[in-house]
Amino acid sequence: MDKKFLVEIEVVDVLGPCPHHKKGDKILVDEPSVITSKSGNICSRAFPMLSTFIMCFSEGIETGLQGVPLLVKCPATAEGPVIFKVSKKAREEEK
Amino acid sequence: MKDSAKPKYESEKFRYKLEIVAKKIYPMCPIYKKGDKMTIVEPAIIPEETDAICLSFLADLIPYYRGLSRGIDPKRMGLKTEGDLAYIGCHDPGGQYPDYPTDGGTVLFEIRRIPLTLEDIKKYREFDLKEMEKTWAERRKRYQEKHKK
Repeated sequence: MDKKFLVEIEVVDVLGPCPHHKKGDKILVDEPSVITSKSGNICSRAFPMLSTFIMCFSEGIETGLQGVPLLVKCPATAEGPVIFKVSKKAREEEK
Repeated sequence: MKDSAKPKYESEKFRYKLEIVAKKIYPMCPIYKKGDKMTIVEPAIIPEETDAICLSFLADLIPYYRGLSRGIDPKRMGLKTEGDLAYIGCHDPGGQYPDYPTDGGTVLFEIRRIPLTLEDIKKYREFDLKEMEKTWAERRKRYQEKHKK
């Protein structure tokens, strides 16, 4: 069953050395599939946490602080952290 | 090789209990207060030795807990270390990084690893190793027979 929205994850900042992501990297998800042709690097350490938000955003349920996009960071402490922005995207926007 | 020159976490067969302690709270967290602990003996959380469990933080921890439990050096996983301790952050940047506001706060956790012997593990769960080894041998045999080239 098609989900209501695609989910876009964008790296908005990298606050320290990170071998995996750079600012501007994007991951596009048609839950549960990552659209690899429209996605950059995917960090396996950050993705499990991002998956919990992907499930909600794909159904149109946005979490986080009202009036601000959802911002999350990776859990690493010696690298980064990387700040990700999670947003829903209408399917039509991608066509 | 001198003891001090040996890799510290060389054996994949060696198991560690993980004590994950809320070390710093920036500036608030509705789940953890400073000093709260979660204890893991892979693959389970030990409720009797756990003060609070945040599912959001569990998702942060999931990629790391098995490696940490089996002795992989936390530095190889991008975690900061200080002596025998390792550090991991929760996914919420809101408290620690004001440029990235959220509705929550940030918690920095200290990870303490305590080596476990088989006898230690038996304190946490009941099992009969001889019976398990018998089952594993049967399964191994079945697989190898089915996938024989």
